[in-house]
Amino acid sequence: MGNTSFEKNVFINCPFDKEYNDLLKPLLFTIIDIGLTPRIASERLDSGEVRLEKIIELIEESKYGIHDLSRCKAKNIGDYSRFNLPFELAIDFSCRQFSTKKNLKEKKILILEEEKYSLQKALSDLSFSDTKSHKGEPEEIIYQVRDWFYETGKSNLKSPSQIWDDFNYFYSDLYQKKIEKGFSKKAIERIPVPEFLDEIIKWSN
Amino acid sequence: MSTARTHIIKRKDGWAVKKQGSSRASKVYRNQGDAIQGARKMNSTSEIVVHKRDGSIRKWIKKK
Repeated sequence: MGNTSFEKNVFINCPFDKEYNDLLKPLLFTIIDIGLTPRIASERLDSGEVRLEKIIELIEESKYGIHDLSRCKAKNIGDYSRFNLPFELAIDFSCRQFSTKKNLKEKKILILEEEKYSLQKALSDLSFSDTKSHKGEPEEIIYQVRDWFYETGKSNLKSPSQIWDDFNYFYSDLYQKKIEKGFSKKAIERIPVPEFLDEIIKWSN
Repeated sequence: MSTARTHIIKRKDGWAVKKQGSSRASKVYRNQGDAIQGARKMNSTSEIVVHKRDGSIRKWIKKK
């Protein structure tokens, strides 16, 4: 792995389910629009690979880490909370804290939550961390993530409203392209995340 | 990419009618139905793309 890819890689720790797709898609689009590379655990499908090892590798390869803990909470009585999300955040923090490598000491970590300060109730250790709230809104996640990258030193970024509009334009071009290829409307909405990511990259180039 | 495509896009304060390629929205309406009506009145557009609040496509209207 070259140093250039480390500088551009963004590790994403979030739920990979249908409910979260509304937020994941604009999140991926924003990262690519800024000129960075999203790295997600589902990017490679190799059942022989140990998931935790893969995640550690992705974290070590990424200067930036975006951890969305907004969906940690169990939905129903008797359900378990999603421990994977704070666990992977802790690995990222530890990587920055305990590594002796200079570049890993420079890692930047963003924690996303749904409502401001809601995480403090469950994880008070994070009180002074970099957290932003997206209110569960696809448009808002673009604003928050774009602004955070600006705060970390990225300049010459488009306005958040322009990125949001471009995301909508991208979706219409994708829709038209897939319909021409025989996809149904429902199939377009169910495009797997790696394919959606490929389409964003193609559209952006 | 069509230059005559107009989009109905979610905004924090309502639904924007925005022609693709324009730097600003023509107008922001409180609800999506009014935004579609507003877009229909625009002579310079041949297609109206109505988006859902997540950016995906709700409806694609081709004006005759």
